[in-house]
Amino acid sequence: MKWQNIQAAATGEQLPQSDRQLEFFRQMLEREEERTRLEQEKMAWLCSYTPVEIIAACNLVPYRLLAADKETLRADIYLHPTLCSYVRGALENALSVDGTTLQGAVLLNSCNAASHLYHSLSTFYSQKFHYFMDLPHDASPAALDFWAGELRQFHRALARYRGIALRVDTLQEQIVLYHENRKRMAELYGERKGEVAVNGNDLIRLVQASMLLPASRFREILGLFANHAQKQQEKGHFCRGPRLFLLGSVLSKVTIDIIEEQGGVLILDDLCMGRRAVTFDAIPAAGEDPYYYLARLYLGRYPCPRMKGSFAALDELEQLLRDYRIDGVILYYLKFCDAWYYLGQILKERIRHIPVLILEGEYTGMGGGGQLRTRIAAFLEMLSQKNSMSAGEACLAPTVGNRDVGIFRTLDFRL
Amino acid sequence: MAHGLLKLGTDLNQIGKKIARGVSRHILHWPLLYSLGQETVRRGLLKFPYESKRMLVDYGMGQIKEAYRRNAVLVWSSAFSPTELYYALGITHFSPEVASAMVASFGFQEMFLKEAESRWWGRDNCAFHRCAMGGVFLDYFPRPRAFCASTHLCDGAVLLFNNLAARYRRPFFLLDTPLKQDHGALNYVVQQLKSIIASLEELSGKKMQAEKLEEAVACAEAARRELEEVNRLRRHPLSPFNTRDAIAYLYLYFNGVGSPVTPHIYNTLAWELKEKINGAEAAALKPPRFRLLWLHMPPIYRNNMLAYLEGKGARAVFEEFSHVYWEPMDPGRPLHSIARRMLSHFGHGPVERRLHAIKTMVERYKVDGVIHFSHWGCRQNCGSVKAIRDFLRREGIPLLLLDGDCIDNRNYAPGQVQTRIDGFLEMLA
Repeated sequence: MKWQNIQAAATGEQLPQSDRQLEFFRQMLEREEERTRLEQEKMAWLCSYTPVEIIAACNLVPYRLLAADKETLRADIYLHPTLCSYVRGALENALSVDGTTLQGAVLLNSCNAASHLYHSLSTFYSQKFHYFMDLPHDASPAALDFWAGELRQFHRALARYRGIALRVDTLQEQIVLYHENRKRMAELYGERKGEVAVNGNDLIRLVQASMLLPASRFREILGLFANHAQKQQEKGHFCRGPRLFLLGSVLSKVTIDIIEEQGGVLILDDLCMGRRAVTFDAIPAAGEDPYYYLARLYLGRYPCPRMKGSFAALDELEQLLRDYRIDGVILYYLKFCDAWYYLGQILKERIRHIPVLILEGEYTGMGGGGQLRTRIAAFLEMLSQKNSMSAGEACLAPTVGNRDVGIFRTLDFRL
Repeated sequence: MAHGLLKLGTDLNQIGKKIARGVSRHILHWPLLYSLGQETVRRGLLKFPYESKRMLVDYGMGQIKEAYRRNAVLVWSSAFSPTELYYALGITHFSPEVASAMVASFGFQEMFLKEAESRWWGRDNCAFHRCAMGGVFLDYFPRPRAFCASTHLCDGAVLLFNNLAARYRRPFFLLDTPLKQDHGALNYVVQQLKSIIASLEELSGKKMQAEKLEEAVACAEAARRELEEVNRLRRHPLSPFNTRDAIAYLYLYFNGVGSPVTPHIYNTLAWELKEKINGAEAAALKPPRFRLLWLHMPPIYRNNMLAYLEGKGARAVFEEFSHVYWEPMDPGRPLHSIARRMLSHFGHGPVERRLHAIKTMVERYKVDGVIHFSHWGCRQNCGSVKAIRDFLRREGIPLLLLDGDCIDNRNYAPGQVQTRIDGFLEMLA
């Protein structure tokens, strides 16, 4: 909920219609997620490279294991404190009520922390099905062949566990369903170079829902949301505020909502809980093996920092920021997330002309919400001042421009 | 006035330091320096406890000298990458992680770490990598033509090399090592090795000759056999060779597999160990009170952890990095042999593999207890702590968990460590 809306609710004022509709969507998502949470036919997954189509083809709801927004007291017994709070939070969730409704978990060796989470889950939690799968670091022909074989093995193992026949046509149906959902999400993310009618945090919220709900149910909600977004666009109800690019490790919606609360407009994100997880596509070749297609689809997408191609992708970053007229970049490090530590360091060097706010914290934001709010507010205030200075002084002092932003170029705030 | 003079003095001091740093950096880039070093070692002007260590230092200096040659085709390689390929192709390689260990052993790590930290390298990631980045920023290291890393064990290495490749804008060859050890995984690694060889050929302008590759694998196999012999001798109750001595020889494991020099050094070490054990038996020396197994690496910077143990009658008789985990290598099938060696690392994949290896080492070296050194920033190592603790408890083997850092000595508190060691030894007694 926006800050203004909280005030409006407190004073009994009527919310604007557009905000009422957004609140309606948000509440609907909450309800649907809660309903799915209580269902028994779910298979947990962690990394956004997980081929959810295979899980769905085995009549299970692919359910992303999110971290609990609470202290990880039980998980801390099993996982070392130098592993990120996302995996510790995920284990905490699995050990609590959420875990009892899961049929099992599928984890990839995305990082050392994920490997250790797998071990903890399989050892300390009596799930019926556990699967640990390799994830190659690039999309070379050898990697595609290898991973296609891995996916086939995984499908076979899951079908055996479910006691059902392995059916390729069912898998193809799921591939089509997920392809359509991603395509519609990509359309929503598409036109954001100009004015935007939907704030990025609502898109990220949708992405999160796509990771928790059955694909068919999500498709209905997505249709409703797309209609709303289109109407907003047609009416010219655009979001106002500094245009932001959010990137970094996995982070909770609490943190993301703070940005909106403080008046920032998320234009783009590079999160595995956001744009990166849904805006990828591949056209199947005639007669292509579905497993090979899935390998090509997932390994060929915009890379996560863990992948080999992620650092080379930085070369396009400056252009991207210019194209989308980004005013400021927020880089969020999840504490102990190596992938972003190593990428973020060079990324920070590459972004030269746009202010960058670097934040570091835990997934849950436990106890850090206030600090985050203050820091983001200060950053947005600085961006607003810079924008107004640039607009107001442009005619008086033409030399004032990006060059003068030097002193603000980087603000490092660590929690 | 006085303040002005003081400031002038401080400025001069800073300028002096900068000049000294610049000069030292330039001197370190001279191959001649390492030739002089080799001569010093060969003429016996430096004393070593083992002849094999003298050979090792000579060999290491030779490698560094090659790395600093202007026309060298230099590849930076990660700690677990397949070095057999470089030896077969005659390519010089340089490991930034090993360089970090050397920097720390000479006590210069703080300057390197601080430099990296001033450029956005946080203190929560691996200090081996942070120190290496400090060396990069300070321009102490030789300039690479390409980067080559393998993915097993260490996430950070892949990320570090990715960062470096983007920074230097040089090619990055990655060996993706799967968790499984089946036929599919083996083929996948072999395919990648072929691809890396093709890339290295293009880079160096040299063609890989089959007999050279076989020769490198034969050397790797000879080294494996010799290391097994060294390890066999280390089982002896009177073996004086402890983890502190063994750390230097890990250079061979990380950098020397495939080199013809490596088996000679291990062979010499084995011979020396035999002599020392015979001498100890003749002198009727007493074995240590407690035999310990060291998991992960001990700190590389100057510290008294292992010496303190020795002083208390306990000896770290073995460390997991010296464990020979890979099967005999077949020079007739070089790529398959290298691939098997890569895949069979016990620290890669399910934690049960590491637990099994620990049990093997505990039994083989007849240890009374285990010390696990949790290197801050090593997710692979630290993450297994709970599993190891539970496993050793079930097996009835005492365990001491020590948190610390192998490179960064700024949080090292000798008093605390000694207290914990005292407590552990009291329990063993």
